[in-house]
Amino acid sequence: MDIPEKLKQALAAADEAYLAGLSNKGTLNRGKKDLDGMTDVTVIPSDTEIQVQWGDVRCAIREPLGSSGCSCPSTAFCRHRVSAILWLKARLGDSPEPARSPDFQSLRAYPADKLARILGTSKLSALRFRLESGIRPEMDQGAVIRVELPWAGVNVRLLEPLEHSTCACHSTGLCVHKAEALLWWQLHENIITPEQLPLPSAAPTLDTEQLRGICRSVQETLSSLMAWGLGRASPEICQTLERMASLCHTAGLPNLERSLRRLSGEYDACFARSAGFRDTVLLERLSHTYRLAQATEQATEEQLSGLAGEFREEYRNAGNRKLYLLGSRIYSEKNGYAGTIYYFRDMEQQCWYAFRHIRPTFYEGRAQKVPKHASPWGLPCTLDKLWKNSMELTGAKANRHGNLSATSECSAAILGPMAPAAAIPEEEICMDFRALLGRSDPSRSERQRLALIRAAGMEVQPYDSIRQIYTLRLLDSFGRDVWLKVPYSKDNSSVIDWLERLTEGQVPTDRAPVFFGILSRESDRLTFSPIECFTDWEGQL
Amino acid sequence: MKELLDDMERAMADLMLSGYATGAELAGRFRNLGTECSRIGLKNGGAWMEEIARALEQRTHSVRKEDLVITELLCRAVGYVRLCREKIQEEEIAVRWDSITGGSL
Repeated sequence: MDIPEKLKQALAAADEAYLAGLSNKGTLNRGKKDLDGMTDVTVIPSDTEIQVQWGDVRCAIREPLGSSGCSCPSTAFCRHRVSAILWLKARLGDSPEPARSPDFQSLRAYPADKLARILGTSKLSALRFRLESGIRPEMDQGAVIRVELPWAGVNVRLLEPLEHSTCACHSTGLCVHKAEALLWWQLHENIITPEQLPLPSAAPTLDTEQLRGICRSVQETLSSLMAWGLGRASPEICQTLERMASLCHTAGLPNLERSLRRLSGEYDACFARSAGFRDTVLLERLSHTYRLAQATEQATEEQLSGLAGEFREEYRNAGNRKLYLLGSRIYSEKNGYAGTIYYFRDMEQQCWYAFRHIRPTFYEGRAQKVPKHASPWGLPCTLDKLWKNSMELTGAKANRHGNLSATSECSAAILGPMAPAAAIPEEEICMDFRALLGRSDPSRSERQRLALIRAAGMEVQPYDSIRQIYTLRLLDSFGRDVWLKVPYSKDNSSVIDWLERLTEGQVPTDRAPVFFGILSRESDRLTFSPIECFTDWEGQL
Repeated sequence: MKELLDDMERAMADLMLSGYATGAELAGRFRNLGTECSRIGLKNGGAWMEEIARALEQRTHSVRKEDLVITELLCRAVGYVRLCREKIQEEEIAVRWDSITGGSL
């Protein structure tokens, strides 16, 4: 039989493992079974391929074998092609050279940064985390490279050329699993070292020219709105702004999109003659959106991704964390979301983490009951039961604001109750209130405004019966004050009662109590929204 | 200073309400605010108010309206007023504390 030399070599090298890699074990077995029924086979050789015809099936076998074709409608590597290859292989006679395992040159040369781009930020950071934690996929190498990714529940068979590789997800292209499997294999073979692994980049590739064009349009639209004047504006402005927001969404500018939608909401309030509308707020929103569009337009490539923002907060691997649950607060806002926020202190890094158990109060037009407490990470109880307890999170994930994810990939082990003083060093408690002034900057996030304070004295203030606010003046040893404020609500009434008893001396305390809360500013005063108050910080009572 | 910042914000909100076409009438108000800003030490604020006044006057006499320039000045000035307010608030808290402690600590 006159078989082209290259094809002859490919046939000789193709063992069962390779054929199973091209298709799967089931198809290979079917192909082997069909081999017995192959009678009246016609072979038509040509320069590049061999056509094998039997019954109503015609296969064109070519090198590389993965690019062979068949007359059947199957889009995958079918049993006919497997039968035809095995049939040809049996008739090769003396093999030109013994079958040897391939050296996977093209897989070795595949650029790691391209693979990293396919993986994306979160999968790449997960890979780095597994690498650092010593977690590896199972792999074996023969005619094909088999990589099992248990965390994704897939099996990948890498072949040469790469496009003929197969994955349990049935993707015909280079899917994330194939990319991850190839990256693991390259690491295993020391083709790349963990240090050479590309860093996860938060920035997706952006079309800068298109973005600049959109930012320019936003500026021109806002400028024409200002030039026209609110007095002569029509309600259609809201639709124009929504259209601009959609454009930003498509172009990958979530920050500008959000800003435009907020601005549109403000114009909506104006045209609806809402009592809450303030022209100064509209002016502030307009100015913010304009400056954001301008900054994005003038940004360099490096600055662009930061200004563009993220559509969805990316939760990244935070590793294994030893956390101490210091307090929680009820969250209920007019935006239709309610729940509880839990505040944790990282006992090693001495930084704050939060877990936000927040759900919409209305869903599909119906009010729904939001469960008050959460029980994430496979905990045997709800989080509120773990107040003043430490726990170890394995495989924790957190976003850039320090909010922990409820992912099932993370598991928690309760380490037991502990006095706050054992978890948090004394120097973290602020006793000189001057240090709080910079931390109360309104441009800072809530996490950055969290504070632990120990007051040298407390002065009860008259209850504000008009605004319904309980106020307590906390004083440091120099006489500087912080105004603790608790607005009255059903949830806060017990807090107010407890604070009243504390100031009347009815609550036993070891030293001066330690307050944990959020700092803010109000007129010429530093204010403090309490989350928790500790009368037994050292745990001696 | 707080009253001046309020006046600046009010003037800019009025301009946003009436539009740039009536800006020439507001130019004098912005100029006065600019003078007042310079007098009490808000140099940047004074310069911006002056520039807004000039740009509004120029717009009346020009065929091709350079609205983007006015909007940019206005938006910058709004940001400036907000930053000034934050700074003043911080200083007020510090001054209040100083008055309590006698400024010695």
